[in-house]
Amino acid sequence: MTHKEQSFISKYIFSTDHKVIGKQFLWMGLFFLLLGGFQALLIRWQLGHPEQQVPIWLFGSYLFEDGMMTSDHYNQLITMHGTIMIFWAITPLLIGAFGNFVIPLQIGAPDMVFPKLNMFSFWTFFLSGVVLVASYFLPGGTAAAGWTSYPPLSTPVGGIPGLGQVFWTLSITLMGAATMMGAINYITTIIRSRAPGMGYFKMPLTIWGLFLTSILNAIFVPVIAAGLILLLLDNVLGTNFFIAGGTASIAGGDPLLYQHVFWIFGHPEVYILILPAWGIVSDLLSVFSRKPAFGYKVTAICMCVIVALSTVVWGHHMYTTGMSPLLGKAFMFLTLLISIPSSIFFLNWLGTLWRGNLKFEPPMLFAIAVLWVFGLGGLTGLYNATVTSDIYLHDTMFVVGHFHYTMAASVLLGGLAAIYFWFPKMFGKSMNPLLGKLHFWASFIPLNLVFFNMMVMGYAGHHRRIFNPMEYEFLKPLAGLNEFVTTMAIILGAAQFIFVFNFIYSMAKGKKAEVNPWKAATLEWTVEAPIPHGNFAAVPTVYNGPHEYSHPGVSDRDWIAQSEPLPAEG
Amino acid sequence: MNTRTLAVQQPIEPSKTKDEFTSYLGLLIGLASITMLFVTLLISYSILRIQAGYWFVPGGGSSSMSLAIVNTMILLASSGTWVIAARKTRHGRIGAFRRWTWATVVLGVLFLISQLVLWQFLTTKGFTAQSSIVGSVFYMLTGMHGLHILAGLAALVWILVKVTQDNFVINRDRVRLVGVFWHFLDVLWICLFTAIFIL
Repeated sequence: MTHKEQSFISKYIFSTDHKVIGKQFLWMGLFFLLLGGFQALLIRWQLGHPEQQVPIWLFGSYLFEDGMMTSDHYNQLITMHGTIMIFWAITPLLIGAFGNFVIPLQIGAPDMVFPKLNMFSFWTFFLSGVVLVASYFLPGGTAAAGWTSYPPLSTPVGGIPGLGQVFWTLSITLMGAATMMGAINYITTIIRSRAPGMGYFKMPLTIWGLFLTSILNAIFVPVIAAGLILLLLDNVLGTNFFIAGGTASIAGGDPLLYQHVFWIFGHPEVYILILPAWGIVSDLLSVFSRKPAFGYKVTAICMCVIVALSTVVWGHHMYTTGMSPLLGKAFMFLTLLISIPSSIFFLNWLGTLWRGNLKFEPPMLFAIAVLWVFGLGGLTGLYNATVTSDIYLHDTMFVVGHFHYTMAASVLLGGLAAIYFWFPKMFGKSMNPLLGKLHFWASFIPLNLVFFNMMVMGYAGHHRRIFNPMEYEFLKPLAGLNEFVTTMAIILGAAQFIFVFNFIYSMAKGKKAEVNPWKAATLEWTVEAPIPHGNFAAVPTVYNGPHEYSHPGVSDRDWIAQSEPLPAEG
Repeated sequence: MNTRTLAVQQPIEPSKTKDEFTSYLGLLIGLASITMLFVTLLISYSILRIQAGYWFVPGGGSSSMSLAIVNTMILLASSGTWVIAARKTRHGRIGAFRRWTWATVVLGVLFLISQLVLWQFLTTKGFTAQSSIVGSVFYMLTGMHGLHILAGLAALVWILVKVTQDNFVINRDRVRLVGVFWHFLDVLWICLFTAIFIL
């Protein structure tokens, strides 16, 4: 690698270095995570304290006239909370930031194979974020048709007036383009740039997760792009792809078509989000149990099986759309099949922990928390997957609680585990472990109280997307629980300040990190931070699997790096 | 002209290099994505068509059909000129390569213009994107394909610019990759043409 002097702009702004781009995604993801979290608190305030002014510490009087939220505001909030958290917080954090930062380092590559494409990916993503935020400044406000943007709410006929939907559609399309560029890069890099000796079954499970995620992204993001283009045309050109009805001479479109297209993408999207977290957790459990990952190959294969199954189960989001019972049953059967591979690798996780030498560092705490929330989320998923129980539970807070467990909590906790784990390598500083543990407990307990109680309320019949629960006689007994959940959500939100403080303080004043603070075996820990452009001084050769901990052949320590040959047995 | 041809005395490349395969892989993944985009659009088309219960060829008659056939011929011809252009790189015949590439670009632009003529023709007959679901589907599919043709043209022009910038040395990897994309757009159009006008 030749080094030429780089200006500030080419080094930090229009950078082609995967590590810098990873950090750019990290900043953007954290920014939107805070924004989305703040929106969640506003939503919770409305549900817990309906018909009351939004308090000043939630900027009530700045955001709303007289501090009173209207139903229009509320609809915009639920739409943007979901959209931002999924596409602009989780996606850049797990896939953008750690995908970029970790993939070349863990497979022993100097960079992504298409560094310029990588840069375009980030800046397209940035542009999409700008379009999204700009939608707030429209006269009619931003989109308000829910994060799924079902027609007719999202179309001009019978929908919500204003340009918000157009901006929403444009920004997601741009985001999709950025994701696609990232996916091309990740897949090609993993296939082509692995260091000598790094076979597919020597890759860390993090890489497996990101690899499979990228494959799903490359295949299914275009599907939603197609749907969004049709939606955009309906909104801008006055076509009627998704507008029902029509006259004798002019046939109408089909709103259900949008739902199908949305969920053909939408269900794989769930796995797009969670696969990197699964991979990261599988690796972290092994590192902090000082044991090889139990059933490493089986875990990787199970993830592949889930990827395949995830493409044929979208109908379980649509049981109540009047689909044929036979079709419903087929989707139910396929959906329930997913529980087999998930149970297998869940058992593998427990197998990794079993009789391990557990080190409860912050990354490990968050990784174990993922097991808990994903386990609960997975189990409650069975009720949503089963047609008979889903017809009752559909569109209730039960679903909200369920998908926050599986897709929000487990992915975000996985992301936080990743931040605590790779922070020393990203910034060369250590984070304060005590504050990390405090952050963990202050997040984990209220988080469960929030989302578990959402499921309880949903079971009691509380619908989602309700603006004012006090308007319904049958929801009045739930007012107390709603208020409690809101209080817990506020504590959960406040706890994040510990993290923000720890993050900023550690970056500025943290102790210099060791090269390998966690005694991990994967390749990124063999290079010292700050890692130069080009990563490795010499291309490493890989001898071992990613989880060589407590190997009996190594006597002086309990780990051996992937690039170190095992001592001859003898 | 002679000095230019002298500058590109490249040996005939033995086989695809490792780097070229990497670029190919990236391109293939990208093409898979674009394919999924159009597959979804075509599936949407078929569902809308089944539900409409009736369908007709845009414009309803042979005149729009013959215009579309002319357009198809133009695009097919552009693939042909491109094949010739790519052949010229084999012996480093830079001038011929540039001429045939320009011919491809011109045919591509001509295709877009004649598509616009078709649009104009249909619009004046009252067949618009808003007039019926048939129109919505037609303008959407042809428009989306047109946007991709624009991207393809940009890639062709980029190659021509690069050839000038690189002191008239042809990067044959680049030529092959752009070629794959251009032929892909051609095949895509044949699928769309079949779906819109024949089926």
